[in-house]
Amino acid sequence: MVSPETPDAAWLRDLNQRDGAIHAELNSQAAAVDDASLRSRNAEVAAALTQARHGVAVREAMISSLHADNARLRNELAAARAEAEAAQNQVESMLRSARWRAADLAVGAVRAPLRVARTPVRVARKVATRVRPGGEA
Amino acid sequence: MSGVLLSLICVGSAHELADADTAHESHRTPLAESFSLQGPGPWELTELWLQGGAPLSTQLERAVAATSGRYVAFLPPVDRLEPGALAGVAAALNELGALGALKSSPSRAPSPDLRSLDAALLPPLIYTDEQWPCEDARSGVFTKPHFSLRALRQFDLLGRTTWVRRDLLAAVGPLASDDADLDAAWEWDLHLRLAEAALEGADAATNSTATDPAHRSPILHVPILGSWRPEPPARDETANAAGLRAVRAHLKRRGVNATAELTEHGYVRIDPPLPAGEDGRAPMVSVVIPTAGGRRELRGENPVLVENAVRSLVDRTDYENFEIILVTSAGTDPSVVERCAQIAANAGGAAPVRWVPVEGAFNFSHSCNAGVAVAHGEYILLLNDDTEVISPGWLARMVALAADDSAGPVGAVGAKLLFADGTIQHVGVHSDQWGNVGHTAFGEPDEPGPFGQNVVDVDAVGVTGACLLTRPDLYEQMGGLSESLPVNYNDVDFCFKLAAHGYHCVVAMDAVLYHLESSTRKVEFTTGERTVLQWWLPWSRNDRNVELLGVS
Repeated sequence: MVSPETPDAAWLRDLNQRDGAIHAELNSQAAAVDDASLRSRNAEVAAALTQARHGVAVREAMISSLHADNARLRNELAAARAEAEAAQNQVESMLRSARWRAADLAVGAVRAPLRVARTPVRVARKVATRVRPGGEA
Repeated sequence: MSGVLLSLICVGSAHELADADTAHESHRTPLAESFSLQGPGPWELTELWLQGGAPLSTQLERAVAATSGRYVAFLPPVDRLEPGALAGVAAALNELGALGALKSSPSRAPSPDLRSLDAALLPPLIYTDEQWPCEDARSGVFTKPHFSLRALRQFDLLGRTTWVRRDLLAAVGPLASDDADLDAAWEWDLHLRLAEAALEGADAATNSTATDPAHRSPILHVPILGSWRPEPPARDETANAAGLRAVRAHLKRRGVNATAELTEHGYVRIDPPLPAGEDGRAPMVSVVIPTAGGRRELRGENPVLVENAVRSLVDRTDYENFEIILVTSAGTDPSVVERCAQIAANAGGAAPVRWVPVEGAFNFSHSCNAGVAVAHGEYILLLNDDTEVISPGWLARMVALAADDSAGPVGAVGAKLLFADGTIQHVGVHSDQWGNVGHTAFGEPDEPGPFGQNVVDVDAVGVTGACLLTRPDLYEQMGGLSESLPVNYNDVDFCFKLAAHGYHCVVAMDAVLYHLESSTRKVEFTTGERTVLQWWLPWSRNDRNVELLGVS
């Protein structure tokens, strides 16, 4: 059989009073603790903000650098296009010139006999193909 | 005097130098490139390429001597500084008033006048957060707690980037000895030795400074991303073994009577011995269980909760010296007490059951105080009647941690509590910057969690009164649980009282019990209870385990 026990009422009263006293004591320190903890928090926030700003500045610098690179590449591209266009114009001009047409006619005159000379060769090849034994490639 | 505040030393090997030459168009290391992106400011970078011949410690000391900053840090060449990392550290020091007259503009980093800096305000050690590649991007960002020596003994809390005040580094030395090697844990070993020296200078016995009303550590954590490393910290067998050696050496230097072993998760577990009680046995623990004799559905049955709790207590606990004090509230069936006594007797009778009936409206605080009033133990354990023991060594572990002040005076020890479905109910109480308190990892699976937060013993802002171990003299000194808080937050209030007097509240992660309350229980808070939390805001604002932006 377990007997009920009664706690010391005076001890409990003292305990409650001590609880009240501690809260009162800490209440008097709250402002100083608040100040210290806020300073600590401010330092953390200052560090985070500084890093964030720095990070933004670095990224802005990177973007500026990319813009500069892009501008340079666009200029190079434009220059290359201009060069290509100029070369194209020159070729077309050459093709339209009287000297080029004259040279073209001369080339055509040389080619005609060569075409005639090739015909017997083509005929001879066809004959040779027909008489090849079956099964050979 | 030099105008340099931060001196970064790149420590690399000859082959890393060759890699930098071949792998990078600029022929600069990633660290050097990222340093150049920090922009102008009171910082410098020195490169040390280790060579054979002179001892490593000598080479490191020479490199340090060649720098001039007030703080020194070491990083390997493959790591990168995060943009703004150096300016962030300087800004934190400036905000703390450590940099004297400071000129700054929006476009430039703070430019300290180091001739007028207040050396007394310079923290001995500063560490930042860091990150590394990870499949889950969130997992690779290590947002570290504020300093805890207890944590540093279990894993390298400081990590990278850690800035050491020059005089402290000179006193301690970069390596433990002339023949020491830059093994996988050389940084952890250095951080332990530095922390020892830093804390000695600021009252090592209490791990706090008597001049700081908030009892914060002198070791400063600046919660910004300081650096990035290409690989996670080594956690292989070699690295873990090296870390264990470093911790054991630290315990030996400090004369701490405790053993250290590796856990299954690769952390170091510190095992202080169980103190001897007055009669040479383990100290007597008075387990105070307030109860109304209520029932709850449990595993298909409807047991009386306190009988279930007592049964698990006497059947599963391997601690040899405790008594059980049942504090029944008005209207409780007295036969519950008799049945509990019978349960304890059936288990061998070593744990006597005592009874304190309390009258009046239910007041958890008053019930606990009434139970403690009659306690005979050298330790008091407040235990909810809806708990159930899981790990047999839970109580021994809690008592051992309560008796070990080597990482700071311990005021209260809590346990890991799980819901019936195995998810986490309690691994410590946290407080965000607005003073709202809650349970860390509430409802999450019982897994190690980010950086082992659920398996590593923690210095928390508080522990739940559902399982709270303390000393009766401390309980009395703090005025017990405040009876003006009859239901909620009385445990938090008690823990805040302890913390305000420089005591630590520790969660013993290897002490595991079920807390069989409903995970969906809606807690109603009174206006008075909320007022209490706001009242504690100056102390609770800087919870070491809460990130700058709030609870993660």
